Amino acid sequence: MGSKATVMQVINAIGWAHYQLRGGWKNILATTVGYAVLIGLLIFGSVYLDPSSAPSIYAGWTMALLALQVGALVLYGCWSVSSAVKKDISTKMIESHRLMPVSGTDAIAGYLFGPTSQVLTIALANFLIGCATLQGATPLGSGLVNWFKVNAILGIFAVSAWTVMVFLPLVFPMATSLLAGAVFILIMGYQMVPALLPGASLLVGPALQESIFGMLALGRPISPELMVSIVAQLVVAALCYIGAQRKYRRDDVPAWGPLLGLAVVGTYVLISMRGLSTWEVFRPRGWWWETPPFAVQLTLAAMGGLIVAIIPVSVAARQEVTWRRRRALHDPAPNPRPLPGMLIVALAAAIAASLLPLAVGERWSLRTWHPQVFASLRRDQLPSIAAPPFPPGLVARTFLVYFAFLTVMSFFLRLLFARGIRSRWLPVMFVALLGLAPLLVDVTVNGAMKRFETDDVFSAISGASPIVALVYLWSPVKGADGALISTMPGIAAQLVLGAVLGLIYYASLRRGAGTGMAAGGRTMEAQRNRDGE
Amino acid sequence: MTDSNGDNRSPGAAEPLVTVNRARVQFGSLVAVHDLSFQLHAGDLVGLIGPNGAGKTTLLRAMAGLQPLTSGEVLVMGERVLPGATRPLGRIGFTADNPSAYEELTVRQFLGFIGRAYGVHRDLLDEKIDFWLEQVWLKEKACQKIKALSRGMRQRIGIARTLLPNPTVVLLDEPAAGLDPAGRVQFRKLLASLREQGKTLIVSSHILADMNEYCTHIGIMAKGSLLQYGTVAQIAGAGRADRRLYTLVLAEPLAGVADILRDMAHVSHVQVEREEVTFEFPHDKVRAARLLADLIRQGVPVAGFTANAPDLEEAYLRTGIRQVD
Repeated sequence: MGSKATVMQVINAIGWAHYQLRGGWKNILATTVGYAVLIGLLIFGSVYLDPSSAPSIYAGWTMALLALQVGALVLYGCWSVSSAVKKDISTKMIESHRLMPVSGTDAIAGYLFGPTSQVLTIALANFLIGCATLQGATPLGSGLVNWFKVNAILGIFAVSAWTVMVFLPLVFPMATSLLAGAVFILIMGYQMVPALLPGASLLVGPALQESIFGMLALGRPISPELMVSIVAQLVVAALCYIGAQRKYRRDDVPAWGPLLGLAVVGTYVLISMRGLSTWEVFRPRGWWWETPPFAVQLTLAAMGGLIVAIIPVSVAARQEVTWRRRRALHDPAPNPRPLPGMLIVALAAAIAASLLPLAVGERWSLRTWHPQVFASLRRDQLPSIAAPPFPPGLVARTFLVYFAFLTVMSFFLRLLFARGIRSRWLPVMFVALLGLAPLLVDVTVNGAMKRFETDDVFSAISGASPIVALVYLWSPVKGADGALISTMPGIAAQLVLGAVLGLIYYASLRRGAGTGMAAGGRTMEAQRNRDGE
Repeated sequence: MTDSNGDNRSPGAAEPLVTVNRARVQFGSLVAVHDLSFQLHAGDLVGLIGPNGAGKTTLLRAMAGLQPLTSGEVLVMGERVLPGATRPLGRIGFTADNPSAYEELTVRQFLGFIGRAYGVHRDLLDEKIDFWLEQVWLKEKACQKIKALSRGMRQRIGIARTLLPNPTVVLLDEPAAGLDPAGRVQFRKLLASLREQGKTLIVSSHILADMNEYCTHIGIMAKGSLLQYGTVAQIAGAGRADRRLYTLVLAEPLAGVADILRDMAHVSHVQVEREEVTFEFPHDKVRAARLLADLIRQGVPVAGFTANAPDLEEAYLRTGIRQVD
């Protein structure tokens, strides 16, 4: 330590501590110098062995340095940030932090730039070595300006990814496992994830696919689509930053409040919409997997919207239960009354449901707004449903599918929270049940009636599943008689289920159990009686 | 300290530094802290005692802003303490029973981190670190990594970490648990000095003999509630003033001694531990002498017989709390 003033001392305490935990300036300097000398020797050696090809070798090394930069900033950087946060959680240092008058904003900044101090110096070394190799790399016509641009794009992507890496461990205890699974799926089935969720392609594509490498090699300018991607990355990072700073200071509150939760749904909708409409720009190239039909991508993105829309609904449910509990206890310092749960349900449903008409509309508008992209499309890649304007009934029924599902989830979660049940798996299982049970019933009942002699075993019963209802509404699936399958019985069934759960919840409130207080009171009373107090 | 029912202070007493207003912490159906209300003033040093699971740690964590309250509020110097509310947190120091630290940092680096986090001016930081290392006898360990230190030393780092930012309210959960006898003496002096500086302290501990010496007030907790609560003298002398705990030392263990005692009039709460027998009996020298004579007459090999002075241990046992840590 000592009296040496460092940049990290100026930034904040959390960053400074993690900078020291990485060994401080001595370790960071030694490692970076060692790395730079090794790379320098390799470049010098390869040019020394074949001096006549020096320009190509320098060009190759510049591309290799960009790949190393991706490795350092994205992989090493994400690992550094994530492991620092996870270690602070597992050693309970985060509790020590929570005693300190350090704002969440400062702390998250510390996590972003403290543990990555080593990464940043290596990235700086890569950048400087790249500047040097570019001087001799004549085939790379773009030169220093493009080298700066691609590093800036990569830097924005890396900092966004680091923010997500701070956020995840604070929210999900199993973030490491989830992340390892996601990386495995990305590596093993690279195109699968972005193909099924085109929003992911929009977010990840520019930094990891041919965009920055193409920019460097061919001197391509920054396209408008790439700018949209950068903005999307920054918006996601901002939402994660806000969520992370809330979770850092308070473990007992959700990362996002109801309004920020609605913003998350809106962000998901906009990114998915752009991902679907500009799929040809960002789709992964060079692998074996064929792009699925637009209807499949659209339906899967809509299903993702169903799940994301649970976030604000869940938060609102929790806030309402907490508020009622404090009120039941005649709390001397009650919380302010939260926004009505059903208002959040309606807003979340409206925002999430807007994805379908927006995305289809955008796709059709390719003809007008993106003529080059449109020209490259095959006919079967255009939406298989009618062009906008859509019938009002279709949009209204789409909203009802979301509204009914979210109403059911809202009351189910309120019932769970009121009983103090914090299980993550129960809601997951309930969502799976809501999605799959009607399908199973339909296949069993309808299939048995038709003696399983035909594939047309789906009927209106399946429409009680919100997923299937969306498929019925937005894809060319038809019933056995060739007519569209009605979704109204299914939507009505979901609404009835929501109403039943709502009745149970409000009935439990009248009994006093809905606040979780009666159970606690009884338990303590029973304990006192047992102890003879 | 002033509880919600009684008032131990004169009407003109200073404003409370800490106000706990119907604080309740509930985990599912278990109420860990049960609607507690009290006030603490400058110079109060409260000893919190009670069995495991009494709610002592939960109460301290709630007061430190680590544990969200199910209902109620904690105010420090008039400001509400909420998890994440950084301003009042700067006035509170809390040491957990097993304080966490960055193991890979040296003691000086770790305290440097704490000082920076609390906004201690850089020019004063080294001086403050040296002062607190001196106070907790760790000056010679300043450049050692924390992972190389013993449990007692880590406990002392935890105390230094709490006191370095000069908090007004100090909450210590089992601070003396890992300390050696010399460390405990030093620690008692430190607490007395902090009390004299006008700080408000709550110390949760199971070492009741120590608390007799340094606490101004005692709170006995069980099942989330404060069972008893007052000055040390009030608590130690609480209960039945006409009865006293007696200790009988036997020359050799005697199998039926408990039954012999229980058969005697006015004897209660008999407990036998090999040659040592404790029991309650009226606080009356003449009757005690008669009891002793009866015991000898019945063949009890008495090697010693004393009436114990009232103390906290006795007061604690009198509450009827069975589980003692």
